[in-house]
Amino acid sequence: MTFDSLRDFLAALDDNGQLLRITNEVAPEPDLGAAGRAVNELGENAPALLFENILGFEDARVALNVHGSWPNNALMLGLDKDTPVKAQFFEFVRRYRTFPGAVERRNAAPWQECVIDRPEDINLFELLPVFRLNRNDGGCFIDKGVVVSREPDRPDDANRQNVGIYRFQLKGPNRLGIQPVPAHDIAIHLRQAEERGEDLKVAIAIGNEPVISCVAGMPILYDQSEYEMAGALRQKPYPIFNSPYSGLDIPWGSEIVIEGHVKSRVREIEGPFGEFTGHYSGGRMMPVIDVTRVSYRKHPILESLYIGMPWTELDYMLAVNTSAPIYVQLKEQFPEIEAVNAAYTHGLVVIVSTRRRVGGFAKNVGLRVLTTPHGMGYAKVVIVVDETVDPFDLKQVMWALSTKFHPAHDLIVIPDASVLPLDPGSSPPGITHKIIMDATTPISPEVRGHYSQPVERPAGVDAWLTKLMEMQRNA
Amino acid sequence: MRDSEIDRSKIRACPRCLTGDARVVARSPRPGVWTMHLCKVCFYTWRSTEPDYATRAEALSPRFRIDPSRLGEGRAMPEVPPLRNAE
Repeated sequence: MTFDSLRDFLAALDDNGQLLRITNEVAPEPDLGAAGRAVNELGENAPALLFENILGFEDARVALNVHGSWPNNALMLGLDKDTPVKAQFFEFVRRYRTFPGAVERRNAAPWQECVIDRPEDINLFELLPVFRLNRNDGGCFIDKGVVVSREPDRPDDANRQNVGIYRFQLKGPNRLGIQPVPAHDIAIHLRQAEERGEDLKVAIAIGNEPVISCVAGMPILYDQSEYEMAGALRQKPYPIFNSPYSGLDIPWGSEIVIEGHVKSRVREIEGPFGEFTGHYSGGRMMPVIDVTRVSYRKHPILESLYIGMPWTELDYMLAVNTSAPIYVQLKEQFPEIEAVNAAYTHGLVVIVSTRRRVGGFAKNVGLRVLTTPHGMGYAKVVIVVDETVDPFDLKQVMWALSTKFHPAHDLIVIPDASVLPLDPGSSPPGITHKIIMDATTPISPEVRGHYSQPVERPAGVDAWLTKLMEMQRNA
Repeated sequence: MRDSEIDRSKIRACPRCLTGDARVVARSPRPGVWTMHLCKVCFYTWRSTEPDYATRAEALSPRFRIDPSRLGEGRAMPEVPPLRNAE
């Protein structure tokens, strides 16, 4: 099953018991941020939230936690909601490998229903139920819009069109701050535009079917099209509409589309904003967007996500989609790779399970993680475990670290490597040491340790497991 | 409200940078429920219905204050590149 709009997906979540509608009036602050945090504390099966009555607004709606649980991510892929994470990972990888998927260009989009086309008539604070998420945020942020831009040097190359998720601070009725992290693709577009002394056209699409948000936060290659990736992950053509205003390809099913341009060579104070590292980002000098046009469906839904101390919706949304590309990229050189878990803080920690070709093999694997496109900006701690260890099961990973890892032999420290500046431990921001921990079992010629006598499961465990589970069910 | 409708006479102090250059930039679509304020110096915004920690200078966390005289000293992210045609 696939979905073409956020509304379709919310209906599917509702059918599966994964949506709570809040019809009582809520205040933008502190209710929306508090509820967004609280739903993350419900655990791994939490529902999405739809707020239908926001203080001071006539008909505004806010959706939170749409991706914020394993069942919601499974439903996004059209899988049974109880699909285990590792199974979601392998299905995700299978579809990823069918890239490029198809894209369907449509002639009109629902978000053309309502248009404000004079910049002076735009007041985003009144149009959208934006809100302060965490108490020390510098203001209201749009944190779950996908941003479309094209490469100024090759504006006709659709493969170099980028669709990414970046945060936007509302800094005026029609003015936004944007955080283009240097390691991300939009920073390449902005750099070219600024080298040319030109503004960079952008479209921000908010309230989307779930796959494009997932792809927009996914570390795919620079010249891979996000829409073709979305088509591959859906296994069905991805519907887009080319905006006659900006010339950018925009998801057909979006609720709200904000178009404008990043002002060339301008920086001004932005933030702080509570980030996915569990820390505020600090105030930095960042680019600015002039908003010139806003289009939206009637009764639009503002989709947002709670972000802060992990685990949050963001961690669920970025778990499998960060792990899969790293897995595929590693597998190109090392067919021995079994699975990759980059679910922790968007891959600042990466756990790889692999078979070993020769003694010392895992160290090569760990070094390759650091040179993947995502690893260059993340992957501060890489743990490599045997193929028999499930990297998604931390109990198993900790066992491997406890027993297989020897600090004298198995630790590599790479000094002063690149990392995203939001890592609060990086110093100066953007620079950190990185480590690889080899927690695999040594094999020849690396002969050391007493690993020849692992304790095996007693005979008959599987039969007893079935029997005990049945007894438990019937008790 | 439109930018041209902003009442410039009702300027007040920003609770974060303490400059007197904040003003109302939006009013609730349902009239009379809240107003949104924006500081033109540090771009802090706050809604009149928010708790004190966001609206009153004395309740705002000291760690998040901004010194307006040091605003330009923050690191640019990303840095502005040289112009291509500048030799």
